Amino acid sequence: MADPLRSLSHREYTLSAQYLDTAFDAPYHLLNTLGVYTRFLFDTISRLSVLDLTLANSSLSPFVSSWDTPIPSTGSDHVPIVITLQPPAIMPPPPTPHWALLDWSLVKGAMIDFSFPLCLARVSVNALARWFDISSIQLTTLMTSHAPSRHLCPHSKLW
Amino acid sequence: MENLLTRFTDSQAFFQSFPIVLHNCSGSWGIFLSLFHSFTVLPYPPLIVAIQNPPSRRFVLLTFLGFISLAPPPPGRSCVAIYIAHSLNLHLSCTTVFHDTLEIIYEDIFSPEGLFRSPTAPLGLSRYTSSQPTAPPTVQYLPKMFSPSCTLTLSQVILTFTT
Repeated sequence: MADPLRSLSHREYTLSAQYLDTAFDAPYHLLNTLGVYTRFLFDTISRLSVLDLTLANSSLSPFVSSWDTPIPSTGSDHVPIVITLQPPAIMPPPPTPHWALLDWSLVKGAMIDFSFPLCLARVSVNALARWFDISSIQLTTLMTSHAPSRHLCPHSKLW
Repeated sequence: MENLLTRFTDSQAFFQSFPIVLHNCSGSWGIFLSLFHSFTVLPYPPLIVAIQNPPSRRFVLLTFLGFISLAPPPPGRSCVAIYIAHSLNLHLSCTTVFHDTLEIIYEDIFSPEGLFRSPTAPLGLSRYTSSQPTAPPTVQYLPKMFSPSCTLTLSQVILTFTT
């Protein structure tokens, strides 16, 4: 599959199909550049081949900038493969809670059971600030855990 | 190597590019050293080097300056190994998961801010090699089975099949 110039026999198709079907059902995408061989045997009768397959799932695929073999031969019959991950030009914004769809009845029940962390009677300013941070995080987490995430598109604003 | 380490201190470059190198060293020290010394041709040094058939001496992997070497523990000669750049290990959480065979290694890389400062899950890298070309791969080879933390957010995984 990564070698478009090669004609596969039925047996070879059957063998490779087991690997590829498993990967593509996940789903994974083949990163290999078509036609780039990854294995060169040093005798004259063996053919070039693409034994080294690299697959990425659909979430990682936008981050794959290149799949290349820029490193010169190291003496191995395989070629070093360099995969470069980079942030895509258009990156989807982080998911945000959809407050309009918040189920307040569930939140109200959870809020009744919620208790703030214990705070000592005499505390320092730093300890009080830490207590406030922890309480705020716990309360925010409680709220966001009951709110569904917005369905964002790459063009959504960051807020 | 000094050049590589200097570039690692540039945090902007660190996050803008995440190079991964895959290679088969055929158990040869010469190939291993040739590979690591040839990283100077790359615009950015690799942060992860996943090797098939790494060279070892008495089941101990070769090391290289600036990298941490990881492979399934003895007994037995490991078929796979992962080398992680020190700088990556300092900045992000790297967890190695070994399978009960010597042919699979899985690396889970987690950043609280997300890789590339994006809302992403851990990056998982699995190096898989099969000594039995006719054996069909099964679902158990998929990385989500290796790391429970990735099961819910299997969003960034590279899976390398080498038959």
